Amino acid sequence: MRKIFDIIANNAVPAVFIIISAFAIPLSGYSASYLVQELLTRIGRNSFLILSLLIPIMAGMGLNFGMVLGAMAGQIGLLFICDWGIVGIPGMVLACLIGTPIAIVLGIFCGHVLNRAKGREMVTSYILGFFINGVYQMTVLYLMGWIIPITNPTLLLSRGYGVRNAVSLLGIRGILDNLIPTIITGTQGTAQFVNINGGKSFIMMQLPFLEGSIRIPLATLIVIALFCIFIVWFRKTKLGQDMRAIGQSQSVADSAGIPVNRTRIIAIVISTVLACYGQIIYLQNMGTLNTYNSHDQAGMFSIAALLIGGASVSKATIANVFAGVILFHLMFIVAPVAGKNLIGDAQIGEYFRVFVSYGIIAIALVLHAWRRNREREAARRSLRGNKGDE
Amino acid sequence: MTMFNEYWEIVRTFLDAYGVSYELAGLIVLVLIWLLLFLGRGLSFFRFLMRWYQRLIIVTGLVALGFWLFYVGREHQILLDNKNVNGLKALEQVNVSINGGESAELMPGDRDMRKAVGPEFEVKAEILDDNGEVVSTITKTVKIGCVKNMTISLPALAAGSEDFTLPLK
Amino acid sequence: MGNNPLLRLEHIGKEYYGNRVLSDISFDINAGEIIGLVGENGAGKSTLLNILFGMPVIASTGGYEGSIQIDGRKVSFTSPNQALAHGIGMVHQEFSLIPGFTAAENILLNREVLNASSMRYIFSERVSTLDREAMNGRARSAIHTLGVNISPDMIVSEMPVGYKQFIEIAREIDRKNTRLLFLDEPTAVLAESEAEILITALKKLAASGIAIVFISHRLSEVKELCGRILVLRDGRLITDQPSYTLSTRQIASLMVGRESVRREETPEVTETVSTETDAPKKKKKIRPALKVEHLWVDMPGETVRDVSFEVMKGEIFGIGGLAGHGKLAIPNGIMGLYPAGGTVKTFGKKLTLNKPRAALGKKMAFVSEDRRGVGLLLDEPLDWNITFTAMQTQGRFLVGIPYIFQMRNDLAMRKEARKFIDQLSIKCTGPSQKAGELSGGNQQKVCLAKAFVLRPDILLICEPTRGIDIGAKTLVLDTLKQYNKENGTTIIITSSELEELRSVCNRIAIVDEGKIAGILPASNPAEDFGMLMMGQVRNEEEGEFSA
Repeated sequence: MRKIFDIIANNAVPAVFIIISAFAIPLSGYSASYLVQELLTRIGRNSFLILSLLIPIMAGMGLNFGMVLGAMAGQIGLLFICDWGIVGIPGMVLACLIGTPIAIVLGIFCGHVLNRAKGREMVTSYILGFFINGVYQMTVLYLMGWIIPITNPTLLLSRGYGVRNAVSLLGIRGILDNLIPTIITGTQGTAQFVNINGGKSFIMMQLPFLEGSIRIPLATLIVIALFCIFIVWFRKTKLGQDMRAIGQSQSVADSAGIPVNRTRIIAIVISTVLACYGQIIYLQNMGTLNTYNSHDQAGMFSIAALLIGGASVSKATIANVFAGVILFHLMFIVAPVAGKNLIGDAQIGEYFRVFVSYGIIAIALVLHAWRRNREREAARRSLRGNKGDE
Repeated sequence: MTMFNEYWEIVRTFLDAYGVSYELAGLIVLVLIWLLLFLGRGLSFFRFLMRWYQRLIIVTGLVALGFWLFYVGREHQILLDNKNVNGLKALEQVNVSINGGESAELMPGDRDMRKAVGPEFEVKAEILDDNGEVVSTITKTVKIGCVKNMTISLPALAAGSEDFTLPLK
Repeated sequence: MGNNPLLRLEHIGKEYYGNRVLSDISFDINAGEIIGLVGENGAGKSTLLNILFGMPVIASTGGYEGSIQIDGRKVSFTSPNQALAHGIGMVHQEFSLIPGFTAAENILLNREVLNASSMRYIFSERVSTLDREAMNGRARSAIHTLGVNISPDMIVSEMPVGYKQFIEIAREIDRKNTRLLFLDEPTAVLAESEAEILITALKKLAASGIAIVFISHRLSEVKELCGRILVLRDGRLITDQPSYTLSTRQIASLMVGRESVRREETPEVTETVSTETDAPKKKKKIRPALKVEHLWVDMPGETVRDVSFEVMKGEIFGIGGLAGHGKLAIPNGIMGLYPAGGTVKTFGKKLTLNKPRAALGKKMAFVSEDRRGVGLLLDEPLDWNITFTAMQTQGRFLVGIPYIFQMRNDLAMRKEARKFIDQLSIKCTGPSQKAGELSGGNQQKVCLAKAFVLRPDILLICEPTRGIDIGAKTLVLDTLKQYNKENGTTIIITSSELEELRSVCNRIAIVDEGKIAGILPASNPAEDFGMLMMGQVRNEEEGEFSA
């Protein structure tokens, strides 16, 4: 009985999402190919950001709300390449190169702070995100164009310094997604796609039962796959092993001579740098950079998606990431339309999406605390001996 | 050696563009080297040397990669100018395309702008007469380096001069 | 080189803030020897280990005296890692294993076998991947040395407790240079059969040249395993002799240390013996004041599992035992401060557990071992402290109409406080002084006064003399005896100081590993209690103990 209960309790969140989606998909009236297309786009857009959360969880530091630091570093890289007018894949790579040292510095800072707040990493990193946001805004709003050389007038506010709120990333828009143009199409869709793609060559696959066509962001997916391989490899390294050890028991790891604090900092640095790349990939897909808001939601939505995928504060796998992206974004796509069709108001879907993402985080945190208490209680009950069962 | 020169050229353009003195750049490189030495403390000499050496290569490689990306990824604005210049008369009509992109149709006195990515680009100009017949076609590969903007004087280009970027020397 | 012992300690001594805990300890350990180190809590064992392992606590409290030599060379460790580098291994009392890791991962924790990585210079060795096969092989051979059969792939959290102990020892064995192994109570968590396997394994290890120091309270195991036995008492090395020259009983008495002669020296004990003889007679007439059956208490670090005893009316009952074995949990559990189960009856009526108010309502009073935390409101004046519980639970020291409007009767409170200040001679400026400003002994007296104000039928006291000086100690104990005599109150004292219990109590129960090891009249010789504390199985001398 307890086992069944445990299974349900451990998978409650994904189960609820699957059920809601199962109702909402027919209500929305979207075709399968549209949904698949949207989901593929969103997997490409968001997975990298979410994957960057895995390593701190492995090191027992919980959900790294501090990943917005990495997102900011990525945006600074993007601002520079926009100013210099570097476009295409070189532009993206250069943005990553510029973002990396910034993310490393921010990560080291964040790691040091979190080492002073052991056991309260999540709330600390969350608030730290706000603090660094302040520094970021000061940098972008006052220093850029004044101390930091930004010359491109399309980036700057009319007063001569400070970056505009909306920056067009036309130069790198969709550049990775369309690097290897790939399409899956039904029997009719080909001609339509040839028009869109301007007659350039592309990889095509035909699935006769499919209606319409689906463009696949193949290069992005390859990058994400490489990243998954990196994580699998990382788990096998000594560093990964040390992080797992620290995640389970800091004191034991410490007494075995593992440099606990240093390893924790490394975990945060890796996460921050990866979040930086994740944000660049995300914005590459979006095509515009909201200088002062884009990073805000990055952390919250990534964490919500990961938790919806069935991860917990102390355990997360690559499968959780993809399950989470699919479920969370499926909800995002269908909920507004389903809400509109059902109640006649698209706002209900928007409301639902915000409500759900914050609610899920709250529930996951409460569940985590509750489960930890229960485990502790169970461990102590075993100490009481037989008489304890009376 | 030519490759080194090319790189030095890029670095210099970069430094000049931001008014960074060469002394400061040298200082930054020294600080980077010191940082590497600092990070390698507490290791056996061989491992220290290997780490220092390999890290130096990696960091140098990344910085070089950055400059290279700057070089090949830079987008330039190419201004096409069809005005009288240095005694050359503006062309009746000319269709210009950059790197095989969308062509621009310029009448006398017209100016237009096209974009090009990378250190060099190919300009193709079709010169037309009054009747709209193609008189001649000029194809030229232009090296632009890291310069952001370039203005091409089409009459000068049509005249076959090597000096066709405005302002003319 | 050959003449030098593996480890030689010369005149080791240590003081903590003027409090001497070790003096003049000297002994040698040779390769392949197994040495038993025994002693009561507080005898100085852990301090000795801390010195040997270079724990930071030693250096930060002023270092130690004497010298340590390894292979004839003087060493002085400033961190445990240095001790490890010199081949000294330690298996701790509490498990330091990672629960979610496999046996192999734990045995090779931070000593993993690595595949060479091309990136090891750019980053560090830590980016190399683990060689699982080699790790499992090494783990298997280390486990094999111990003579047990545990799969290297088994997850530690799924193992029985005994296995975990083996994994810990295997970890030390795997360390290539380990020559001296300290085992702190390794058998405490093992079942008898597992303990036997461990002992066999340790003998085998010793035969391979590793010296072992075995610290345990189970004297029969110590005697079976060890070639030499060292007894520590009050920071001194009492004896260092081959184990075949000692019986477990002798070891126990050496540890406890007070020879039976001492009993005649202290008149109080003989006095209590006379009162004690009355108790069995009363037993037939009156129901017991407190009857505890199958009590379990879940108090962290002091868990008791199954405790049954009876206390007669008017008796002073002592509960003794080593720290961490659960004696403190008994009064705390009865008073409802920690989750508890079983049945507790006061004067034949069942007591609701887990509700402190229920216990207080039955006219029971409790003096906590945690004076400053639970016992006193440190920032409040004495009269408040003394009368607070009585006001809350019995509605005394209040004026006004009950349930509607009541207020404190400050006058009565002060009067009562003054009465107790005189009676217990509490040194203070008056009833309005703050409790936090008093000395430890006087605070303890305030705690007693607070309990006395309740006019309890049963008084439970934990560690009445902890942290107070000798003069105050006798005063507190005398107060208790006097109160017992005057009011016929049943008193249950829990204390880790056996002598103190023997001087006031009629009967003493000894708690060992969460169970009552035995209940003896206080007049029994000290070594009897010592035997009980050390987990000497009762059936050895059954007849003598079932008094």
